[in-house]
Amino acid sequence: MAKYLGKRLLQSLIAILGITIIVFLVLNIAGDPVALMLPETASFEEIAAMREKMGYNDPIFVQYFRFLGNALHGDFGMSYNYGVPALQIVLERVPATVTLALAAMGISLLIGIPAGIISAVKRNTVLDTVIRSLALLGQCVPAFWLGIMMMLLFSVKLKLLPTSGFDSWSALFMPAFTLGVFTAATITRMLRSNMIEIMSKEYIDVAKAKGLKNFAVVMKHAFKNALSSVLTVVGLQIAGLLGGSVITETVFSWPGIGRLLVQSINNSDFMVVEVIVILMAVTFVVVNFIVDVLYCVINPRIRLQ
Amino acid sequence: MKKKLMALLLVFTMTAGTLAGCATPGSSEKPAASETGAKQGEEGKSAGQEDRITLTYAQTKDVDSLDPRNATSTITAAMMAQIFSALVTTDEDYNIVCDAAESYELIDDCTYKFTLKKGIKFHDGVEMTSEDVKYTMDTIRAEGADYKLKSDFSFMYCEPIDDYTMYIKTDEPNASTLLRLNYIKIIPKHYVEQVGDSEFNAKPIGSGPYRMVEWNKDASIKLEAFSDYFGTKPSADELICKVIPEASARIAALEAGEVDLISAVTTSQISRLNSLGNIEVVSKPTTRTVYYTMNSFGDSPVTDLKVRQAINMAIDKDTLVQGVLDGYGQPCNSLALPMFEGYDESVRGYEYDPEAAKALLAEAGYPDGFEVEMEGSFSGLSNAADIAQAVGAQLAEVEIKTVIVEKDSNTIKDEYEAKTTSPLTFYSFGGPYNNINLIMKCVLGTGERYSAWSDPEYDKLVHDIDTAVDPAVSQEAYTAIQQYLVDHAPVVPLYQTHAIYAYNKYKISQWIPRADEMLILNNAKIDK
Repeated sequence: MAKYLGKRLLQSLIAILGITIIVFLVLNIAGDPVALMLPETASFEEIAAMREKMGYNDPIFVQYFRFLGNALHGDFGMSYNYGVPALQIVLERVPATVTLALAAMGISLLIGIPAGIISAVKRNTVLDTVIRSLALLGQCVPAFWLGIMMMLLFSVKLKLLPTSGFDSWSALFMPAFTLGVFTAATITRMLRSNMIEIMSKEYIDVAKAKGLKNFAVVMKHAFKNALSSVLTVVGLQIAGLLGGSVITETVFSWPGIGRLLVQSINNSDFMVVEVIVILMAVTFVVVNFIVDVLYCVINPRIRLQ
Repeated sequence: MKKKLMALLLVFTMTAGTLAGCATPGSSEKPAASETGAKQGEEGKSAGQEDRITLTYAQTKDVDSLDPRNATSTITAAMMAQIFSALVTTDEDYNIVCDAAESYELIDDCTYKFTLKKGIKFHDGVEMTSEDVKYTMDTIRAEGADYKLKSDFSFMYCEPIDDYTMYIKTDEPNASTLLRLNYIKIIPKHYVEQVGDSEFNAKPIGSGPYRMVEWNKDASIKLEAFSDYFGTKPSADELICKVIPEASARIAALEAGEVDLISAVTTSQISRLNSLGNIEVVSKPTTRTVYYTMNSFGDSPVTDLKVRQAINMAIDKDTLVQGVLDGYGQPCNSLALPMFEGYDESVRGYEYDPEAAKALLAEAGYPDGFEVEMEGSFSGLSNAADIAQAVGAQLAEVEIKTVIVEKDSNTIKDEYEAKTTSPLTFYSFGGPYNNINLIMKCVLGTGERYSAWSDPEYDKLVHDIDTAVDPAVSQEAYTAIQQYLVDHAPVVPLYQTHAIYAYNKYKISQWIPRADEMLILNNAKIDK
């Protein structure tokens, strides 16, 4: 187990290092941001002076190692747009994104798990058809459209919820639901197909034959074994959600990382972009690592492989 | 059994963890702070909570900074105008009027003498003096300083005479001095020296009509009327500026009554909003001009004067504005806009005349027309791509076939630097301190950042308007440079953009939007 974990940890570190190289190179290819750091009317001399001052005239690998060295000390440089450290700008937005991600995940689990189980158990009934149709819809409907429609219904017509804001529970509901619907639909579909497959296994028949109640068969034998698929989805989705959702955050004016990323790309605020992309990548790697560990815990066969 | 428990535990923690994790966003101690009314100011205000008038408005982006020395974007500059004051300011129609200054006079081409109003208080109660003005201008100009205002504003400095009088001097005569002074918002020397730049940026103190209460980055800014403000007291006691980037979400927030006013309304929504009954839509011409530059470097047909004139005559700007912009724009015949000082209406640009254009093309040796690349960055300006398509169609009428290429604005900026832009390049220029001097210099001056033109004769005309400080003598120079645009046709001016706002008309009345797009409602009547 320890050997396996050690190997996975090493792989994760290599992945993170690779990410920093790619991020750095891609942003450098995109051009140097000096012209955008200065006002519209700055002269070419001022731009050249700034370029020299910021070290953009050095060879690329010198720039990379300087960047990496500083990054290890938590120094990602100053945000051009805000004039404060880029890391600080990003960290200020993290709580908003984490709140939204966890709320969305909560909603999707609350909807997805019961819906998936019911759909599998009540296979080929009207209820199953309804759930499957809704799941399909949930996966297809664009977050942008859903968000605006909910806003028109709950805010403009019914005046129940605020259209945006970050200061109340009620403001959290619509963005979390918009974001959670897709994951809920994915969990439902995944869980349903896995449950159906497992329910046809012989050990389920054995469990039924020995007189166990249906509920016990479904929950103890089928659901437990179908859980690993849910875990995969949850792991991938939560990593994605923690990276911020550009569309949902923009529609609901949620001050999270996703919106900051888009703004920073528009402003060519490269330091902030670097921090966010690296943060997203690290989150992915870490969450994947945790999921792998959890796999081992719930399914020893993986560990043995 | 152990594994079973583990699995159940896992499901439980996954669900419970997610729910527990979403404890109140922001802070749990202040549920729905914005709805329950204003947070009491530090001093405690005399007006009761119920009588307070709160105005909430929504705009597209957050401010970049709360330090006026970094306020180059229009949205940031507008916020600065609420919190700070400057020696002079501009009114709704872009005329320069006194703000913190009692009076000013031109001493010589490089010197203005300013007298400060007496008794102007910063929000901490300390009185403003000419030393604060000097400190503000000195820090912008200082060696090694990297405030965003530096490159455009370091040509001037302040020499105090006493506490209330001072000279504002420029290194060289500069006709834009007064207009630029509007953006030098005076910062309190005692406070900035004491707390440093970063603390000042977080908790700015100015002498403007409102003081800062709270800044939730990318979400909202809350301001409170300053009771000792030296000017006319604005009619709202509290101002909340929300950031809502999505156009449809801004409109939903207005319709739901969460905000009283929104900016950047999309033209397609205007007729629906007008039909709602409680919402008023207004538009105002801005300082931004949309145009095509024609690259004088290289050997494309546009290096020929007759071709440039023909292109100018082939474009029907009225149709562009009516057809593509639903009338929300003002066709223009020059880079100089009527609101700018020095604009001369007797200088007529090119009128739409496709027949004359064809004749000119034939004279230039292109009786069957030619094909030309037309590039632009269309994302920053509403309906820009449609405008470019329409222009392409109009040019096709006179046998000029265009290939429209979309590029990102950084690429086009690089091309301007290398002078390798397409023969026709779609661009726009505007902003909070635009005037004839600035746009003429930046768009057509030799080696300037948005210029694909080079002519020593033109550069001399730019120098003439820049250094003609006395209005009595400057008009001649202004007229000359406007005439040059007609004689040499180096650009195709298209239209002046409009800023479009929508507001709750039962809450806001008598409001006149500003030409420089700064969203300031201090001149409006606000009801409860």
